[in-house]
Parts: sequence; C-alpha cells; structure tokens
Amino acid sequence: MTTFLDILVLGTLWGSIYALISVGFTLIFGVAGVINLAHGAFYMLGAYLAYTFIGVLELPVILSAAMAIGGTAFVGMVVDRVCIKPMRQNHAYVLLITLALALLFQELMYVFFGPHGKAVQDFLKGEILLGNVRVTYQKVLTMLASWISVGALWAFIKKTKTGKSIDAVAQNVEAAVLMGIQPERVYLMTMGISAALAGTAGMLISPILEAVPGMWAFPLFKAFAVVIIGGLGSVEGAVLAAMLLGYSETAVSRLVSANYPDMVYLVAIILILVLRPRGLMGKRAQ
Amino acid sequence: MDRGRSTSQESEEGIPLTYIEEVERLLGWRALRSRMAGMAVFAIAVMLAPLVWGDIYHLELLFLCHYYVMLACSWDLLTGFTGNVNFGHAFFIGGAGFAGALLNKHLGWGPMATLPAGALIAGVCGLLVGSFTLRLKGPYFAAVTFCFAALLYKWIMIRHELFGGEEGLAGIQSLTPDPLGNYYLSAILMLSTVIGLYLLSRSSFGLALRSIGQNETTSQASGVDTTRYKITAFVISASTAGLAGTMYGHAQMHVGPEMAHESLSSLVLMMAVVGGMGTIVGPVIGAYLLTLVNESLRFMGELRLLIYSAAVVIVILFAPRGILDLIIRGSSYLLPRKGKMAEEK
Repeated sequence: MTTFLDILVLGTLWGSIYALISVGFTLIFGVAGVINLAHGAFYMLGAYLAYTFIGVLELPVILSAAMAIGGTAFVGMVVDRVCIKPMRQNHAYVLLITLALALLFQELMYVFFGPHGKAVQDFLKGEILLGNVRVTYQKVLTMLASWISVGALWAFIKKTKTGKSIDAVAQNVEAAVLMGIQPERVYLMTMGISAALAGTAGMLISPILEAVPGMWAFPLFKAFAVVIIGGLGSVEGAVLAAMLLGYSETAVSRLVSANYPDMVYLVAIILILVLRPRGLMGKRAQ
Repeated sequence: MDRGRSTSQESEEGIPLTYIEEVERLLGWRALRSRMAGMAVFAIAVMLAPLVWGDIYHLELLFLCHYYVMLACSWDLLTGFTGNVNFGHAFFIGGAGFAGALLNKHLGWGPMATLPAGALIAGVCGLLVGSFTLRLKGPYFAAVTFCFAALLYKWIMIRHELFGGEEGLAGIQSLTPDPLGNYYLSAILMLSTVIGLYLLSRSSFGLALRSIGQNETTSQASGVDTTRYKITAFVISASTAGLAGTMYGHAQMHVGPEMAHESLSSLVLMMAVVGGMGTIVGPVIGAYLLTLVNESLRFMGELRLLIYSAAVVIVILFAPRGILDLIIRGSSYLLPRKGKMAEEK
C-alpha cells in the first residue's frame, strides 16, 4: 500500500514536472517547426537564476521567481532572434546551433558557479503526511505550480486573441499571414513562452535537485521522449505522455530496480517510433 | 518535403544555385584531378609529419586527429549528404570499441582480427538499426539514433561486471608495439577512409544520396530506391565508426563508457558541421581544427571549454556551411579567374 501511494505521489510529481518541461518544447516545434535543443539550457538558466536571486542576493521568493522566469524568457527571445531566425526552415541547422548553445550555456554556468551543485532552500518549509508517505510542501507547490502554468498556457492559447494567433500559425502559416498575423512576431513570442515554461520548471526544481552545469541534458531528453511519445507538436499528447512517463518511471524504480527507470523512456521512444511514429496524439505527417 | 537546403546565391542567368551545385562547381569531376593532387599532398604531409613532430605527445595528438577525422567523415556520409541527423554515432563507436575489447580480452584476438570484427559488428548493427529507423524522418531519426546510444551507455553502466562500469576495460592489447606504429597504422586507416568516402561521394552512389538530401520525394519519384541508399550509407558510416572505435580502444589499451556517451556524438557532429557538412573534405578540416584548437587552449584552464564552445557557436552562426565554405569563398575572391571559368562552363 505504501509502495502504491509512493508511486502515485512521486509519479504525479515527476509527471507534472515533465509536463511543464515538455509543453514548451512541443509548443515551439508545433508553431515554428523548431527542435530546440537549448530547451534544457533554459531550464538550467531558470534554476541558476533562482539560486542567484534567492541563495546569493536573498531577495523575496515571489520576486525572485518572477525575475528568474522573466530572465529566462528574455534569453529565449534573444536566442530566437539572433541564432534561430536566420535559418529557421533548416532543421539540421537549428538542431546544431541549439545544441552548440546548450553546450555554451553549460560552460558559462561552469565558469560562473563552479562544478559543484548549488542547492536552493525550500520556498515553503514543512511537509504533510499522506498515509505513510511524507510529501514536502515544496513538492506540493511544484505540482500545483506546474498544473497552473500548463493550464494558464492552455487558456492563453485557446481563449485570448494573441494566443489564438499562435494556434493559427501552428495550423497554417500562409492563412495566418492573410489574416494579418506576423509569423516572426508569433515565433518570437512562442519562444519567449516556451523558455519561460522551461525556466519555471528549473526554478521550481532548484530546491529539490541541485543546480549543476550538466543539468540541462536530463530535462531535454525527457522532453524529447515525452514529445515523441505524445506526438510532436501536440500539447495534449505531451501532458498525457508526461504523466504516463512519470508514473511508469516511478513504478519501475520502486518495483524493479533503481537502475532501470532511465531505460523506460529510451525503450518507449524506440517502441513508439517503430510502432506508431506519429505518437499517441500526434497528427499524421504528410 | 525537404526544406533543408536553402538556395544560396543566384547565378548570372538568374537560376538559383544550390549549395551542392556550388560545391560541385569547385569539387566536381572536372576539379577532381586537382582535388586528388590535394589529397596526395595531404597524404604525404600526414606520412612525413613524424619527422617534424616525432615525440610521443605530438604522435598521440595526431593519432587523436586521425581518430576524429574517421568519425567525422563517416558521420558526414549519411547526415551531410542525406540530411538525416544521426545523433547517436557513439552507439557504433562505443559498441565496436567494447566488442573489440571483449574479443581481445576473452578470446585473445589480436588487433588485426578485432579491427575488421569491430567494423563488421558495427556494420551489422547499422543494418539492423537503419532498416527500421531510416523510414523515419528528420527529428524522429535523430531521436531514435540518440536513444540507441543512450541505451548502450546505460547497459554498459548496469552490466558493470562485464563492461567494467565507469572504469571501463583496461589491459587491452596495444594496437602496435610503439607509438610510431600506432601513428602509421591510424594514418593509413584514416587516409583510406577519407579517400574511399570521398570517391564514394563523387560516384553515382553519392549523387543518389545528395538527391535524397535535396528532396527525398522527388528522388523517389525519379526511381531512386531511397531507403536502400540510406541504409547502405548508414551501414558504411557505422562500420567506419566501428573501425575507428576499435582502433582507439587498442591504441589507448582501454575502453570506457565515455566512448558511448552522447557528448562524443555531439563532438563528432560539431566537427563535421564546423568543417562543412556534405563534403567529406570539410569534416577532415573540422576534425583537425577542433582537436588542435581544443589542445592548444589547454593553457586557458577552466576557460578552455567556454572559449571552445563559444567559438563553435560563432562558426555555426556566421559560417553555417562550415570552414570549407569560407575557404572556397575566400579562394574565389583571391583567384577570380578560376571562379569565372567554372561559372562559364
């Protein structure tokens, strides 16, 4: 029973974090066709900014969080303008420049903050007991904040005029241009939102995992997995796949062995690509 | 639909010249004789290098260059020509490296047996992986190749009693008894790889691969069996990487899990891109350049990798077609007559 509850709680936590990381990744792909390998670097940036504002400058948590998210969004928009815009249509180029940027960010963090992990104190102290499972408030906060962010994104895209322009560009660029939408502005905004979501995830995770220079790889791989399992470009698919991945990884680690959870997503990607390449909820590629 | 190759400039008649045509103009059959002369100069330089840099440090550094040249060129054959980004080259490098090491340690095979065995094993793996992943396109292929390499890395870590875990396997028989022998063996393997792949890329096979890279659907419609060509290119690419991996394992007398790590895959990819994808010659330049720059920045200490990665970003940003493209452009500025003649063909 405890094991089951454990899987349920930890699986939900990780599933929510994966969802938060991967919706941004899938959004920018769906809208601009950009596979952003620097997505993990934005996550890392969020964590390090949170550490700088909370741990070093000792600013209030709310202000620090807002500044960490805003800072990441700004960097995301700069990256889009400077590095991605010139060759946006060339998949291979975008993959390479964003990978190179991720490595550059890693080295920057290494030089500024050193190779050792930087822990941020919990935003909220205390814990609640669910049956026999202790859950810190920080984890509850992370879960809630993830769901609020994903929900807000959903409402923004479906309900506001600006958000609908993103959806329009994702569906058909030419038609969107005819409706008076400027695709480049939409791409810039989407990149900002995508980076902000990654930064939020990094900021929220910084008290749970330490901030280290190599931390960008893990969320990137997970986002890639989630997005492929869910279907590239599908936000709903990404949320579904993120929860499935969260539960199955926790279940494997609790029931089989702590060695194997990382195998889950790799095997899942291969199976999905061989059996159903468009993912669980992806559209059929032409 | 392929949006990968953008047109770069317009010829005088107003017909857009694609990048490949542009390279063709300078590296085509017409120019092959001068290219082969260039290759011969390069080969002689490689063969004579130990006379100048005969100490162990330089021999090992140049050996490392040969290793990376083999990896970058072999990666280029599939990705540079067909545009399918292979993110898991380390799968073949590490896989063959460990296979060679195990054959050597447990069955006592010497390097002359494990080198072809490593290439064969990697080639068979390439055939298996390629035959059911190369129907995937773009990001999907990149993801699945990445997964195979990551799975191998995890497997090496988990089965540490067989693969030695993080420590890897030590005590493998040396490639040849002395560093000079290692140098010459690797030089011969590297030169035959480069020349072989270059000739292959100039053949009708290379032409078919290029047509896939430009527009796969059109190429299929013109009767090119695109899947077969892609799989063949992948197998050749994989077995060359396997050969290099086994060679590296023997020369270091050690194989470690880092040979299957994604950072090796991305390093190889960076080398090919910085040099110039889809040209075979470009990755040679890229591999030499990045290996030597990386080594010469060693005095910078902690800042070394920062400068290195910033330089890679700048090259990709300002010369997205690589150093070779810069050299070609630079030389057509310096030698305007030659450029004109080629245009008038």
